[in-house]
Amino acid sequence: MTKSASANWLKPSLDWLLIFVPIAIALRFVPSLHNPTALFIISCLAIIPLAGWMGKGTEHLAEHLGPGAGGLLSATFGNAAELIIAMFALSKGLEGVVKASITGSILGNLLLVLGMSLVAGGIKYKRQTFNSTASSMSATALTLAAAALLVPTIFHAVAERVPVAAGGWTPEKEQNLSLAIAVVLMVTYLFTLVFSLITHKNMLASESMHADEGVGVERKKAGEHSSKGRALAVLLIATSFVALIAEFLVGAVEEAGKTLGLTEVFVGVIVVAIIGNAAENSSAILMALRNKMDLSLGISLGSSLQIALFVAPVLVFASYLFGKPMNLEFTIPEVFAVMMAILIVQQISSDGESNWIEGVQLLSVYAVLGILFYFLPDVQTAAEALAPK
Amino acid sequence: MTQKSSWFKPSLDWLLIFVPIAIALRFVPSFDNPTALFIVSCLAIIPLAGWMGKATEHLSEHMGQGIGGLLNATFGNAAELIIALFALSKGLEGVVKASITGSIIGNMLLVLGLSIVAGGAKFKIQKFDRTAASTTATALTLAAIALLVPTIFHQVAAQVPVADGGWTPLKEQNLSLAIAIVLFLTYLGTLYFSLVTHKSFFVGEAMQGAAQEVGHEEEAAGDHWTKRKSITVLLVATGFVALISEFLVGAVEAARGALGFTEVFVGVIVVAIIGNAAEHSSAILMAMRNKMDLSLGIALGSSLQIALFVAPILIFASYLFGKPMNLEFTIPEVVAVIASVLIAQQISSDGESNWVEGLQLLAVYTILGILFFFLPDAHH
Repeated sequence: MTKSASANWLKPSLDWLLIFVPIAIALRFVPSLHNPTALFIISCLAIIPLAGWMGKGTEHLAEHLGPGAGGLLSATFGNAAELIIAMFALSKGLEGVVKASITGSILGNLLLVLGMSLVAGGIKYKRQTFNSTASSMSATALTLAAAALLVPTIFHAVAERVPVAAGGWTPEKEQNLSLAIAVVLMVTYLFTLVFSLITHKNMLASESMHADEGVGVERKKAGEHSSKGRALAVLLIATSFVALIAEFLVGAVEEAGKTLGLTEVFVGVIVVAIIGNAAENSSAILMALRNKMDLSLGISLGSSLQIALFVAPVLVFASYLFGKPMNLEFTIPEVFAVMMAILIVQQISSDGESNWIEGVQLLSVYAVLGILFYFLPDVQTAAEALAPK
Repeated sequence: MTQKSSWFKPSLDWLLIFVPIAIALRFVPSFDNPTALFIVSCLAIIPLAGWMGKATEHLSEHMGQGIGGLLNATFGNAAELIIALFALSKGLEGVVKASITGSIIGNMLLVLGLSIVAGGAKFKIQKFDRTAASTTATALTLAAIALLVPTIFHQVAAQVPVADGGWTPLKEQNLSLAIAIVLFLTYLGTLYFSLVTHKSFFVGEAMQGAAQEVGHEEEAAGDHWTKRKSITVLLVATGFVALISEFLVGAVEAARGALGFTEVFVGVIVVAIIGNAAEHSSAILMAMRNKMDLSLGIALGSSLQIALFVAPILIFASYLFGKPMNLEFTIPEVVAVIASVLIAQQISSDGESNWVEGLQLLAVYTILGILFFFLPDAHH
């Protein structure tokens, strides 16, 4: 029964990846199978369908809670898988991977998810249209997020030239600055929620934040409707499996990275970001294939926005609980990549029309940035890149 | 002779007089003067590039839409490519790279700026298809990002010791090669888009539509070449372009010294203007006829081709010459490309133009030209 229902909106092939869940558990707990690289790869694959089920559980539950609370739940848990992976990584002190996964998720949603959606939809339809007001509102919010992510890097580069005695850069100041920015982002996020769930819920613009609801409606039409208890059970089970596999993944990441010759930033920006967003990816592509471009753009742009306005501040707050405060200072290439991604997405979404070559252009930018991160050595902070020699 | 004047300003062909002068300067020992040879070669190459373009278009008419469009698109920037290949074989990597950025900037600012001014002087407001212009502008943003990445990589990776995975020339080279492959694949995708899946989609779509329309224009004017004539003209013009390019490249170093130009200035401004002069004249003429879609198609499409086709081809070719070239540009070049892309986008996004917009583009071009004139040659 779940099988036929899931085939409606989630490609059946994604659920086949659930086979990797027991394999990952075996690799982790059977001593003779100890192999961090294999564990890392298997965990990556196993987490993809689990994240999808989490999303599904959240949406079903949201339907039972009514538009207000349900929308809030949908919006808040939309990126729960990324958040769980990042929390585990944070608790292990993998700050570099966590920060890279924030920028990576933004990039992945804007370039990879949106690019694949436009290509998939564009192959089927010569010209697809969408509401450019909604997408440009998201793009504006993303520009705000990019500005916020740029500030700590600028602060470091500038303040470092001043002696500490004269008020120059100290790690503590960077931390306080990051915390203050995280608070601003979080408050902005809350207002965005108020806007899209209360004051302007009827406006098409609100689609960007909870396009998921639309996906839910789709599914309801398809005859799939589960009880509150079932939705809650699916959500809890999927979440605990995601947490379990995320723990494997994070535990194996460092050794696997070394074996595969991947840097911390590459793992965060490309690998973790792709894994954490695979579920969004499949729904965004499916919506594009059905010519529902507003939903498709809503998922990819809305998800990026949530990462920037919600996940990033929550991670900064959480880092205090772990006793290892994390700042929001990103490396120069990360900041550059996010700004360029937003710039090109704005251009593509501003005309309210898409075709497959626009998707190819987004994927090209993603490939070019992926190449950059593949070749880049690990640079802890932008300070090293900007510091006078 | 009469047909030519229908789309090609007669004045440009008068420059053919410089072809024999260049040959004389090069081969008569008593005339040896690199500066004069350089200037005369620059002037001689302009009409030859125009004839190459014309012959390509005529030939493509005989090939049918698909192959003809491909031919047009691929050989659209053949003159620049030939000059760059000669420069590359002489190890003038700095000039070659500067001519890539210079061609992009030149088409977007100088060609487009002159076209908008020329058209705007005649028509108060000119309209064009926003969608076509903005698709091209997006592709140019992609190109700007790609050209920026190797520079960022160097800046960041150079701060890390080599033992920890820091910057090495080999890494820069591999990074550039990988980016060149992505650009080239995107170019193939763009060709497929404009020649196959969406060939009737946009009016005057950047890459091939413009050139084809120019061809139709000509046909209407009664000018039709046989296949044989097209091939002959193409071969003769290409042969002369190659010859004069060789003179130009051979004289550039000595002329540079005499004129006090830097390598980057020669590449960004001089070589770029020469190589694109043929595009200039067609783009301006189209603007004066109020065919702004074609005019923008030529100017922006040509920039795009340089970035997505010529640049990767030069990288691939540099391996054949045994002197691999990377895609790392100087910071002023990168700034200039990004600034050009931004302003060209703003101006093209509203689907309307007037002469002051052209003036703004020309002002940006002049400011960047001043920058490159004063900049000393920096090592990357």
